[in-house]
Amino acid sequence: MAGRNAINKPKIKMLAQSHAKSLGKKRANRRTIATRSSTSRYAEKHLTAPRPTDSKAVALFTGQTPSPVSIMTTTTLSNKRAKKIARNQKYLQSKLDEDLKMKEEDEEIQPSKLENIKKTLWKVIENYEQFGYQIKPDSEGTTLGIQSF
Amino acid sequence: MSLAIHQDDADILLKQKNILNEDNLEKYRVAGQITQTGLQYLISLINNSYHLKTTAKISVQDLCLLSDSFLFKLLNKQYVNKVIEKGISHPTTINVNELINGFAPEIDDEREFYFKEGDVVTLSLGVQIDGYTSQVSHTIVIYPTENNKPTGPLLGNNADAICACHIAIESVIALLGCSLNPEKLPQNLQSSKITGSLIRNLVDSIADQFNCIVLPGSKIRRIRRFLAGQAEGIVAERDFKGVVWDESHQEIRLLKQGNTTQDLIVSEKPQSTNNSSAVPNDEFFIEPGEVYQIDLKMSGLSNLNEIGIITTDEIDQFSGKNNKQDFNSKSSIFIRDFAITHQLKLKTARKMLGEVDKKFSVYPFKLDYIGNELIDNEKSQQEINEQIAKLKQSMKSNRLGASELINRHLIKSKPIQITKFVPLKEILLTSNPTGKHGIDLSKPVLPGMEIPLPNIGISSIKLKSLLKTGFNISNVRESTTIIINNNNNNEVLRLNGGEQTANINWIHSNYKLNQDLQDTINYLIQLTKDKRFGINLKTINPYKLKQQNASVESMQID
Repeated sequence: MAGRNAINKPKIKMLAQSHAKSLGKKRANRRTIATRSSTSRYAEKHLTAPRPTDSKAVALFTGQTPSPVSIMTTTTLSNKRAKKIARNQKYLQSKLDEDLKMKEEDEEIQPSKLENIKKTLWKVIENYEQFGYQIKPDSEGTTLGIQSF
Repeated sequence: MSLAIHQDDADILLKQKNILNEDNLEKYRVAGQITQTGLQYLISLINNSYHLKTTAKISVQDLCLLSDSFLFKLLNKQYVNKVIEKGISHPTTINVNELINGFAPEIDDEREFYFKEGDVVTLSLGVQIDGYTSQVSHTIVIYPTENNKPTGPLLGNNADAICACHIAIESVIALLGCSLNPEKLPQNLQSSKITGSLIRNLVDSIADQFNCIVLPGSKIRRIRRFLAGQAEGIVAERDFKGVVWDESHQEIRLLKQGNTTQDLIVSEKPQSTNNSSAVPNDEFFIEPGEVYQIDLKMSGLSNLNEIGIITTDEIDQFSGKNNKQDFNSKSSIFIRDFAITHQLKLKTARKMLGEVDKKFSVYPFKLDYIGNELIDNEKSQQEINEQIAKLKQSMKSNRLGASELINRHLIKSKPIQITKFVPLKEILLTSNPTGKHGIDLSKPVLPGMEIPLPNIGISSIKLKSLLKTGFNISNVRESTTIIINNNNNNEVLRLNGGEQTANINWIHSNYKLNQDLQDTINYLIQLTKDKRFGINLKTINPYKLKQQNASVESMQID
């Protein structure tokens, strides 16, 4: 085999070989499903291997509305699943409304402790602005020490 | 994390070694005498250079170094080869005006730190002999002078605070001393035992009368051998006993002021944690045979025209972090964290760690101390100046070693803190959707006191973000260590402070105690003046020394 810097180096042959090799690699990549790195450090999250803690649900209700930009997807929802999601959403909405109503009713009866505290503190500020400090200076005052260091 | 110690050893270390027998009392006494002499030396240095003007002005970094070297010099003459550990328990800090903790610039700091007329300067120092600790703080005033005398008394909010602090310290000493003879307690206190809440009420009412606030970090606590609060915020101390003030007490004070019609249930107790004996509460009794550190910091409010909360802020060396902070400084006091071990790479760091472990053990130290011969105060003034110049050169290698130790968390730096006034309006108007979650880790607090304002639900992180709406406020501090000795002659031993060394400043406050409180306090102070019918209070005297400017010419150690 000729050396790397040899005059009779089969340059074309070597180039052709490496070209074919890289083409072959690409072809093989297309055909097989690549094994995925299990750590999200090396791949994006959706590309990493599923972890046992990941949810197996087809569509999971997270309480969020879908983003306004529509994204084309190839995942299909079965009719049954779509009905289920719609029903769950309906229940959730009614529960949230009820909670809100109950909270309002509670608040009407009693202001929270925090609000009471804040009200009291505002009153302290108002009192101060009207009357100044509760302790008033005395004409006599207090003198300590003598005229020395 | 706690270290595993056999119960028998724990009994020896925590109980037997803290019994006030003649040996231990003598160690406390000597420690007290050294702090007294150190304080006297430091005050005369300041008087000579700022008031009497017999020397050039001495900068803060030189004052710290001279004082520390003097303390080491005195320590070297006592208990030679008799105890394993002795040293400085609190490096000399000189906190001017709004500075409250930990300001002790290193000797190679190029900036010019000098006092101005009208400054209130808090000097703090402490030493330990075999773990028996004596710590003192005293605030002095820099007066404008005329004929070697101050031209007039200090007025204004600082005068109020000095007055309140002085009266509070003296009356608390008397109150604690009453534990030896509870029958002598003033009748209108309506108590037969001295509890934490009694002490708190007394101090709070004195502060209130002078329109002052007791600042966060003030405490009246029991100290034990090696447990003198030197590592607060780093190590939690079991069986903590003492009264502690923080921001939540100011909140309660304001709520009580405004609470005229409706009943608010205000929680005064700190949150409990899994190590509940480390959480301070006021439900304890003062018992004879204990040693107490009385450490009070106050700020006067008379020159403000707002209601607010006073809190502390940490200063560090990074400029531009918060747009208004114009004063930056690196913290210079470090303390070893013995819970952490690490194999170090740098040789200087390894050498330094060995020295720290051996020389300073659980007490704080400064980089100036390491590997150097400190200043010899008994030399002449000129030689002292030469020594200081030499010392500046040797700081570089220490700093290199220290940086690795800090990075590996083997040593922790103690923060430099200033006091800040945050208007209550800003606190009430801020949006606080997350409530009281979030702890500011850089702030050392006692366990259970992590949430500064629990009733309004402001966390320490939130309060930190509100600091930008506040402004600096000056503070004063007095602290002393006392022993309630019930051994043979039932006496209260005041290790430091007192009129001889910590001279009362010439001040005039516009406020006066009301008659009831005045009577109680007069009664308490009278008790300490009268040996036979009151409390036998003894104050430790400093060594007699002759001093010319920075150099000590002769010393008489008994």
